Amino acid sequence: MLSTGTAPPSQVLRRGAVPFAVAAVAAAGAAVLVVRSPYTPLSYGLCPSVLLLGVSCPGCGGLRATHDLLTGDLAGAWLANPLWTLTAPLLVAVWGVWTARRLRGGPPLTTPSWVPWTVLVVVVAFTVLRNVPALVPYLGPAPLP
Amino acid sequence: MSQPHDRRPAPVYGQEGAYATYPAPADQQPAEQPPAAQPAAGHDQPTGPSSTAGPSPAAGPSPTAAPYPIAAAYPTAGPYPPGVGPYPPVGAPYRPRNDLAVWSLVLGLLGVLGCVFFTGVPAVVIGGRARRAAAAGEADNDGLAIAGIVLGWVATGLGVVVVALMFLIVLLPVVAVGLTVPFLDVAP
Repeated sequence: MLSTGTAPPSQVLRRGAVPFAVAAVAAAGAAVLVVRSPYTPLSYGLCPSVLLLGVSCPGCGGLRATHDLLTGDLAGAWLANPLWTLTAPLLVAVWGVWTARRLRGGPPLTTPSWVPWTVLVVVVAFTVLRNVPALVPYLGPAPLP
Repeated sequence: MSQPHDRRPAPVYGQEGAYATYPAPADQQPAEQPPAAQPAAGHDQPTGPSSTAGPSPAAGPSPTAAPYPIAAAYPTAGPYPPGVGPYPPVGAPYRPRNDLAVWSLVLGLLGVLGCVFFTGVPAVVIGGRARRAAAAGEADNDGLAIAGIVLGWVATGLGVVVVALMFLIVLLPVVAVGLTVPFLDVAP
């Protein structure tokens, strides 16, 4: 189903270089996360935003959520960072579409204009809401065991 | 009743037929059909995209016909009302890469608001691509791209500051304790 148009193999390889480099970096990061669990205290250092500012940034719990997604613990991932649990699979899907288009040699992938603004609003709202004391149990990063 | 060659060709620059001009309807008579044969002879539509679209890029419009903007080739709703599909409305300027600068700005804003260099570096990279697209005429929001690049650099700088602070906060107490231990009266 994945067609590469009428380009010669060398050109397809060149087109695929960037997407597969991105995938390789992501896979390497995923491997590190699975092997070295972020649930071990101080395995990845300290959280700067909590330490310096006292608030949870939108990425807090992201390492834990990714580790849980990779090891199949969806509930744990949701408790660690709900936004990232929803976004990570979407990003994988977007990578797939991008790579397919790029290998086929078609026009570059563009997003409608409302997408970036929606991303901004959602992330800022998530950051604010997850620091509201009443919502911390639902949106904030789960406390370390 | 659309024929295969009714499809508007992809808007690739330099390819004749993308936004080519078409001969005026009045000039198109059966005898003046373009040399590249229309598979459905007998289709005598004076208007519409089937006249000189893609299949005959080399032939082009008849030299004696007056150039005719695309907009007038749709006197009634043809098979492709303006604005369908990924193409901009007929007659609008072609700006397919306006999204790059918007993404650069959004990533820069997120970087300044807390994501520091994680979105700051992509903001600078994408902002650079956006500026190149604007210079090439594929976008018209160069100012937005510049804003995204500036915010991206600010976010990266903030990130560096944060990392330095973390280093100091963790390392300095350890170093300070280590330096003072020999001078304490209490046995270690």
